[in-house]
Amino acid sequence: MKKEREELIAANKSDYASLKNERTEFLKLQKIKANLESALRTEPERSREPDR
Amino acid sequence: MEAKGIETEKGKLNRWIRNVNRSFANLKAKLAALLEALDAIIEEQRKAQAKFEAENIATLLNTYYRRRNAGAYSSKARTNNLQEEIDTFEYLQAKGINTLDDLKDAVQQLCERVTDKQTTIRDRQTRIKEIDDLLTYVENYKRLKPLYDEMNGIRWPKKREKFRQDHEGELKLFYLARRKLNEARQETSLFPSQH
Repeated sequence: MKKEREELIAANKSDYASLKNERTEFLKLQKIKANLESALRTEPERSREPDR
Repeated sequence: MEAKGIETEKGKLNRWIRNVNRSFANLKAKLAALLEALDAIIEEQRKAQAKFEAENIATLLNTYYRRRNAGAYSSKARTNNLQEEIDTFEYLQAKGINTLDDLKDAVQQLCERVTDKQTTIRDRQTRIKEIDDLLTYVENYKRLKPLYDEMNGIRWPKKREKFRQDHEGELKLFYLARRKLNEARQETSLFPSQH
């Protein structure tokens, strides 16, 4: 049981870690969505520094 | 009679039938051609639509960056904008996102991946909690079994009762652990039987 517990915890940690990649991808897609929305608006927007 | 140049009713009817047949054949051929032409138009339109959609995301993003550059304060800002635009297009290309539909699909796929992962993690956490509980029961059982045995070793009922009252809390923990472990033994998935 202890071994199974350790394996489950390790698997969860691994999945949590890979969730960071999903989050990064989400942020990229969200930004593209925002840019597309902005392009659909008529008023030009001012340049700004890239998001950190 | 017809051979002699005299029209007959039968001859007229036959000619009419031949005309009708020709008309039907003609109309059917024209309809087939029309259908074929429509299919070609539909196909053409589908390709044009696909091309439009393919270009649309690029055009929209290009519009966005063009506007952003138009209001850029400095050359540094313009360089950063250009780099971001390149990164965005590279990302879209790497992901095979060419159209708005592709973009939507990518978001949906990401949603599904996240949901699947969340479910898997939650299931594992439930199982970890079950194991933790069982380990606690095992520990309590081992720790309190001597106390339980000691109580059962007392021959005098009054003395045994007093002992039971004095250790009521611990004994309750022991009974709970024993019951839970017995239940777990019934479910092999939870607690493999020990041989």
